[in-house]
Amino acid sequence: MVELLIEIIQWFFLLYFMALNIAYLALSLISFFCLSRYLRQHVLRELPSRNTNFEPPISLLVPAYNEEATIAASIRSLLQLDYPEYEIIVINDGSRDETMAVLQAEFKLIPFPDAFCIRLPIQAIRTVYRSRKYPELRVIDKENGGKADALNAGINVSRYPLFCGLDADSILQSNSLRRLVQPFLEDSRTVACGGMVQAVNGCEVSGGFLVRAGLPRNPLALFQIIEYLRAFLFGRMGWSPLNALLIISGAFGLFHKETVIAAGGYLHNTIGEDMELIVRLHRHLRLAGRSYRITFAPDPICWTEVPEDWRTLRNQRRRWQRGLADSLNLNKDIFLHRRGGTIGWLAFPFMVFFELISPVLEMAGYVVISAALISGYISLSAFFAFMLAAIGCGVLFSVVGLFLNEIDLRTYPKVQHLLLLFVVSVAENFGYRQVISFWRFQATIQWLRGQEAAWGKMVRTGAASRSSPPTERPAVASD
Amino acid sequence: MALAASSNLVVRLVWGIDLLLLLTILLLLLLLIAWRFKLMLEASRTERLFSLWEPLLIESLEETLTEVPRVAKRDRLTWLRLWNRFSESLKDPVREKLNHLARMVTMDQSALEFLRKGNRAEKMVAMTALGQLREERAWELLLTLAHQKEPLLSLTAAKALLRIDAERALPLIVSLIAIQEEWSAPGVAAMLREVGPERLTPSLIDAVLNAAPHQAPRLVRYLSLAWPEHTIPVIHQLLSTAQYPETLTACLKLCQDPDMLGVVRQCLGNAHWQVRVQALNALSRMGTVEDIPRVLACLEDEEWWIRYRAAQTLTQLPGMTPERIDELARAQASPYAHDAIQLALAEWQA
Repeated sequence: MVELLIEIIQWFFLLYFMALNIAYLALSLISFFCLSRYLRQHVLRELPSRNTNFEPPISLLVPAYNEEATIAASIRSLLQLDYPEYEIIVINDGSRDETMAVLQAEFKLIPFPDAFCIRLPIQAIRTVYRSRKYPELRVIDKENGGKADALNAGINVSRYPLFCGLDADSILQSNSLRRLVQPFLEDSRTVACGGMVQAVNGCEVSGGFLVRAGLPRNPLALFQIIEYLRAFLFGRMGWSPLNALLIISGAFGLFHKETVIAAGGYLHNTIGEDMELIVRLHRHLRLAGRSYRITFAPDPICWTEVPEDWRTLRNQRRRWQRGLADSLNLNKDIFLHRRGGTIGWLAFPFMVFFELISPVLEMAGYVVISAALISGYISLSAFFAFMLAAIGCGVLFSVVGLFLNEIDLRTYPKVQHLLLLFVVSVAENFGYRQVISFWRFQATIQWLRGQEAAWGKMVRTGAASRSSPPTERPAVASD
Repeated sequence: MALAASSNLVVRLVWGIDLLLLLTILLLLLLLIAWRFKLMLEASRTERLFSLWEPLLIESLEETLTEVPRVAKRDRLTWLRLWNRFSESLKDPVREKLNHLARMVTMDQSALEFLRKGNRAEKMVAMTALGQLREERAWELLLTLAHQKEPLLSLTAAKALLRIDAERALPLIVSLIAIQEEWSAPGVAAMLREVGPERLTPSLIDAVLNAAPHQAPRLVRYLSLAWPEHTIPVIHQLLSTAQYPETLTACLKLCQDPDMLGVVRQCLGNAHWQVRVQALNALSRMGTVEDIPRVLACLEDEEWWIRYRAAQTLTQLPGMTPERIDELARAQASPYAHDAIQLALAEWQA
């Protein structure tokens, strides 16, 4: 009887494992073809571009909570973006440090009698400021309400039809907005577009822009570089052509404002507000029968600092897993809905079975297989076979992410970087991924038990070497 | 027994998968290294090509070169990309000097070949080059490509056609602008701007006047690139006759002529708020003292943007001073109107 049970469990895990990896393989193949096609289509990007004044204006929304260390440099670099018309709205979400004082001193803020329509409910706004020196910069000082609330406040105050949500420590390239807006120009159905996010740890930053990509010494940061490549270059690039992309990073995404407002804006009662918004947009638009696109563009890049200590990383990954669970649960109507399309019948089930449940099954798998080995129900050979298969698939997809980066961005120019990242792709699967899975497992259990989640505190190490940006905005080429 | 056999089968299957994975990973590693070395070799070749040709390109702007090195077949696409980049950074009359150099190294032939047989990237590069070269032989193929649905490809073809023969291409391209809905506005504007208002104006006006109502907005927005004295009557006519709100908003954005005040004022009562906003914007440019009551009435509009633009318009009307506006603000019963005026006043004084 026990042998039969072991047999059934063995086949269950094997079939699940095969289904999971076939799905990842399909995504990686789609990514490869779509990335190649994208690069061919946009070969003329190397030509100089001029502003035509027909580019749609964009509102940059920068929620800030306790960002005194980096906010000034971040905003200075945003002021230098190469884009004809945009505004920057910093939302100080009840910071308890000197964020507001830093902003006031650096940008000569004055209170401004801003009038705007409260289209999305938010916590009270204390004062709106405008910069005397940079009229395109406004700062909202408000009561703390969380990131979603801060973004909704920014949406309420914004003047332009597109808004770009950024993190306070996001480092953009000077052409990032120009690249991120392209899908909106090329396809009028586009309502949201996410860009590529990469780890700035180990890179050299000057004047608020990245000057040289490098690799960090910290092994956690190295592992995360591989994770990000995998997540973006085959996770998102794979889903985008199917119009089934379920997440756009909160660090760098461009949205059609009216569509977001119609869907209700960012939700307050979830810790994964960025993903939840995208899932809800899909649900809202699909069920309304509207033609739309939510897409990913691989070449506009945003650089962000990734955690270099275990505690911050743990908090982050638990938060992401809970955000995933929330997003799926809050929008479960779309699951296998007759009008769900690729979302309801493909992406959503994928997320449920292969992202939400997988850490639980993975942990169960380790327990079962270890128990089976100890009690002699499986041989050592079988044990190693299964373990190697699990690890091998992990290595394979990490290396695929690295390969896709070679085709597209070639972020790390030195051969030794490439070789190191290959070694990291392998090493990642011997302990690191298992720890991440364990945290995700914990987070899933906590979520099921209804335990409260928290953001936790990001320990900023200034992991990129930075020098101060110039004070004057460079001239922008125009006709 | 059956279970043991089945288990053994599973284990052997999994070992098989392990072996396959190992081989695939090693293959990927080899591919990665090979790809990187390929890129390094290409980069090195490209750098050599650039350091050889960049001085020659610069020199060709000063004088007509009589002798130039041969370009190897595998470098032709790279050469074209370098040449495109260089010529796109120059203004028109200067660019012509580069054409002679390109023909000396038979890049016109290469570009035509890429256009006929190349992949998408090669076609895009070739189209840009052929447009710059004013290569007539590419006309028919470019015309076909300009009609394709894929926006980047078709827009690049259209741009090339306009460069080859603007007079001949303009009517065709302008009619395509109305149809090709996915052509990006900045891309079209850049293309039309290059043509220049003298050549653009007749074709564009003709197209606007003959466009189907739902297509007109797509063309009207580009009237700002044409001669204003010719477009004013067209805008006036459209404002008086157009039904589509998109056409009205596009025309109102271009209104500068005080003779259009009457029809602009009528648009203040339009059912679509986007039209009313643009009417207020137009009034801010050319309104008179008589418009003050009309603009004040818009402060009661239910739409925030109308109130905001009305307040801004007030600050632009003749004879308005900060004190007068402040007085008007205090006289407003509606707190929303009061807030809008305070905001506009603060912006005006900032």
